[in-house]
Amino acid sequence: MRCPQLQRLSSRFLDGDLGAERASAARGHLRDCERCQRAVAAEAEIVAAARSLPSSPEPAQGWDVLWGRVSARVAEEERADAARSAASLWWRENRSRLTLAVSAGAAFAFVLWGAPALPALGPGPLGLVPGSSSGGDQAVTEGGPERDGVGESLAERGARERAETDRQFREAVSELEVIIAEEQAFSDGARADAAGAELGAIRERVRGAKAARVALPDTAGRPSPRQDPVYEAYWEELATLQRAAVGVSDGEPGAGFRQDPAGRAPATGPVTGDDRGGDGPQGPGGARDSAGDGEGTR
Amino acid sequence: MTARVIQGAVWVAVATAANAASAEPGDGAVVERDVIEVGAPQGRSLHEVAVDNRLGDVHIVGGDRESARVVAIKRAPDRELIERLKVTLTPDPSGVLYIDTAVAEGEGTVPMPAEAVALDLVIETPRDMHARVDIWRGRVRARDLDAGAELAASRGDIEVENVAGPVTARLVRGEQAFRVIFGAVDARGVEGEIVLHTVRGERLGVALHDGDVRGHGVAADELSILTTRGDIHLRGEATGGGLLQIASHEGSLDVRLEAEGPLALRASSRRGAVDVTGAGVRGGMASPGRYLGVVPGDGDPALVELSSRIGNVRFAVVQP
Repeated sequence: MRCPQLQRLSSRFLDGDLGAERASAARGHLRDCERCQRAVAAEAEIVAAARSLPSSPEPAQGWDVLWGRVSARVAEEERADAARSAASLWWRENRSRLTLAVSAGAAFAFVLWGAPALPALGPGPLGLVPGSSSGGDQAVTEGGPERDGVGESLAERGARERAETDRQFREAVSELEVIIAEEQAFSDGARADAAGAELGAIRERVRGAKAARVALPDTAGRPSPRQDPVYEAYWEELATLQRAAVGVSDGEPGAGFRQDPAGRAPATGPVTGDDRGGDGPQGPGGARDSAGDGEGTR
Repeated sequence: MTARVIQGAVWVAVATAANAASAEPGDGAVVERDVIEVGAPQGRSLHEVAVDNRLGDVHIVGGDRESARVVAIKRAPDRELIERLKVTLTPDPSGVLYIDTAVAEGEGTVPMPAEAVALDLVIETPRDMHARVDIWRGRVRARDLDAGAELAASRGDIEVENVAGPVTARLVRGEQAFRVIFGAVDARGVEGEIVLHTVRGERLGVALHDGDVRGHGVAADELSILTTRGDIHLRGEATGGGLLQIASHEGSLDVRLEAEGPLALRASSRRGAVDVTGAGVRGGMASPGRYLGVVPGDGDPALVELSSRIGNVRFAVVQP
């Protein structure tokens, strides 16, 4: 396991959610890598501090208050053991970055909670408003920090896990929206419009399905994860956004080859290759032509 | 000891409690193991098992057998709580065996402590049964099946091995592994890792938001592997007329394909390096960060499209 991989998996490692094989690989890496030891130790400190707080801050107080408590707790522990460990040094070195990241998260959560009271944000790419994902309403009733599950009843755990799952989907959707906003300068306007329309329809379905789900009792009668229309719509939403974010060609298979800009021959020489390459340089579309579809590089 | 007789609306399946046992392990918890055999009556057959277990793991294994055997392993702090963990088997006239788990609630019952109770299912089925499994948190394993599987979990692991037929998997957080699959695979995840080992079929669709995808021995006419963050490492084959689309926003791609016939390639990265190798590849950089190339030959070419916005793209063609 390499450093970036471990750092990406560190939350799951600390949660005990890695499979046995990967957890073993993570432990092996941690034995040898001092830098990752420090990073994981620091993350564990933050998680422990967060878990020691009340489980559900009042929405009126919001994440700013929560983060204030977390940072105060961390500062208190730092003072108590100034020379304690390399983890503390790592925390001091990286505090500003972590603060920025958590503040951004807190701001996002605050937008979700306080959206009606805030001035409307302008639409982003694809007609999206950051934080406007269809799951946003769920944060009002189910949001909040993760608890460690100690002392929970099955019903409470079920509700918490549904909230966590919703949150994870919303975070992924939010991240993709940011990526798409960054990519807007490079993307094709018509495709963005089409994706926006598709997303609008999907989000209507998410809202409708959520409204229906809220009316169900907490434990019995809930559709299973695979059959739950909320999750079905979430998966669709993610897929649509991801295709837009990574820029893959949609629709007809091979469309990307035919959409390649005209006449862009490879710089190192003709790429005719195939026997029917015609005269002059051509890109892979020429090879596609050889398949007989008549639509090569234009 | 627990014995149940399963009755369907139209036909009757005979369930025999082959054995049931309980024990108290050292930690004070009570563990009970119930075994139920469900067979179809004359002239009917079970062709699908649909499992909804929100209390633990599910392991389905196919075999050369006529009936289904369900092993329920219950764990709770005491016998009273064990008795409230219920497994319901409902044979449908259409040949679907529904297996659901639930916690019996009633007036005055104490809340079930989540960390202390679990109900895992091990289901042995005829090999040709299709499997549908939903769990919330835990592990889903399906192996030795000939009619595909649909598996979903919110958090945990999904493992599929030695399965023929279409396989779909949805996992919000956790690791997915597909080994020796002959059929279309559609796997999606939000966070985790996806491993493909010897996966062959008409279609392979993998979409993972955050995490790596690693594949060995992969071949599909239509192949799509997408990640937002996370590397894609793929070893497989490019089939004639096939379309392979491998893309990531942030991750790097490392793809090595065997190609017997012609191949057309587009490989691009806006910020990373693009490196294409292979004795038969003719092509070059059409513009910064964008490589176009072909492997000449007769027949329909395989179309290979690789792109990463930020990561590196490395591609190699090897002769089989």
